[in-house]
Amino acid sequence: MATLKLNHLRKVYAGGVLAVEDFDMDIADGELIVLVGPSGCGKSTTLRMIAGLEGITEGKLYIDNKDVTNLASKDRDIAMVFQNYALYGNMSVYQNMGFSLMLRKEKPESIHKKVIAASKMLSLFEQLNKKPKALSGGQRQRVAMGRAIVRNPKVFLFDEPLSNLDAKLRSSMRREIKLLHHKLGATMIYVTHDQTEALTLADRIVVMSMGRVQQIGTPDQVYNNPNNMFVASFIGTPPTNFFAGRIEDGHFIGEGIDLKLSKAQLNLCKGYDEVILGIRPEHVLGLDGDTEINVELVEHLGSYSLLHGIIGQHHCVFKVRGWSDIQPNSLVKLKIDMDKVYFFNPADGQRLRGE
Amino acid sequence: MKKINSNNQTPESSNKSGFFQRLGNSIHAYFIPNEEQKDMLRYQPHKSAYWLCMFAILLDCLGFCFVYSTLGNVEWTTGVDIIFNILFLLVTFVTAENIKVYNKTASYIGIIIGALEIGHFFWYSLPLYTAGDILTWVMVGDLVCFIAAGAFLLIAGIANFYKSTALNNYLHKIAETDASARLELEQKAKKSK
Repeated sequence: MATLKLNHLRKVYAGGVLAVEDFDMDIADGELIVLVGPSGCGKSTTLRMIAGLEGITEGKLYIDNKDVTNLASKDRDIAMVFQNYALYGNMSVYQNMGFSLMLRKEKPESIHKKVIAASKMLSLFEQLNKKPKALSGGQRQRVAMGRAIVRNPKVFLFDEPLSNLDAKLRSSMRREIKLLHHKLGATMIYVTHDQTEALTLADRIVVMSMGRVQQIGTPDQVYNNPNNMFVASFIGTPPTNFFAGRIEDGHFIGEGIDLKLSKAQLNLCKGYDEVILGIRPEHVLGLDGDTEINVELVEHLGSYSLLHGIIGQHHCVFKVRGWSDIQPNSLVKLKIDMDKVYFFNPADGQRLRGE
Repeated sequence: MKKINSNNQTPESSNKSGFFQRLGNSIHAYFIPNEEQKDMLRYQPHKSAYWLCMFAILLDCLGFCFVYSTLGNVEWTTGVDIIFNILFLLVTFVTAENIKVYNKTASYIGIIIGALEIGHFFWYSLPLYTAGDILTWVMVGDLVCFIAAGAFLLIAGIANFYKSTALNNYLHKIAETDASARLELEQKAKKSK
């Protein structure tokens, strides 16, 4: 397996379209890195630069301390799994998985051993003689993964491999990918727009937006310690609620919301008259607080309920435990967990972290 | 002075015997697969035998063209030969497709039509030459094409016989512990019905 060093990578397309700006990151051997962000944020472009399918405008790429910036894809010893599987329809599963080894002119016996081993690992042993059209979406994706595994590459690249699958299958395939990562101990880079995949799979997450890296961190860091409003809103479902307001007499005062701040929180907001307060939907301690919400809709999801409502003029969503008996068009007083709120600079959306 | 190795061979002679030994081993391995190669037969089509059949078709067409490009006298045997060639092409193609999937029956058919193709030269082309209806170069061309086509079919048929037998026995052997082998045997049984 391998280490990667992405040294200030930049990608500008013809016509001056900036796709990726200053992507700088070191990836350790055996790490599973997830690039996550909305469509068009540059995550797939970054992956394709690593694969060698896109040229790098500026910057350097190192795999195992070897500069591969200008090296052809086939010489980088990477394997890629695509969103649309990219299987050869006229070949059986066995032939699809062994094809790259055959091109490398490996011995038939060696190819056979590797394909059988990979097929058993991915529960495809009984499908080896079938053609891709006879397989389900999940099986096809496993064939694509098997095709990558048999090559024993330095780096695995996954480009939204679960996007074409239904929700249930996506969930089971996520587990399989995680287990595969544990088994192989391989360096993997995974691209997705689904933040659930990012949180469950990653050793570290790279949150991207408009070609720029917003934050790099573990799932815990990215979720509980967001760098800015974009990360706070993108990571987490439902998204973080934001309230614009001012700091006055030790309180945060916004439209329909008045919260007493601790000394530490006042220190964070020092120098700012106006701030943006972020509250995650689940950071509600109870229904006996001071923050009044006009509930418009209640969604019952079994173990918890979502309250959609309005505080002042702000539309927001909060999560309460259990099957709530709150009715629509009722007023509920929420007790916010003040230890877990975030403060952001309204000018640039960056998190206020004090001095 | 030439060096002699422990087998009383010079390097040149040991190279030659090594080459023939390797050749012999390859031929043996081709017809009689080992355990690992038997498992590989489950997933890989019998391409070599398939292409031997395809080349046999090509050679037969070539031989056919040689004869009919120069044939002057047309008799009832001409019609028989044309029909034979059409049937040969059809049967060989179908046989090739079945040989590709290690069908044992296709082995027997391959051997039979291979023998017929060799016989084809002797009962059609040679009498025509003897009667002066075709030129010497046509006869030689037919000799090469039909005999080679027949030989290819014989090799394909014999190789497929050994391999399909080996594969079938192997599947029966592992069927107790391997569900996919049982499934393959069931599918083969259904196809043969």
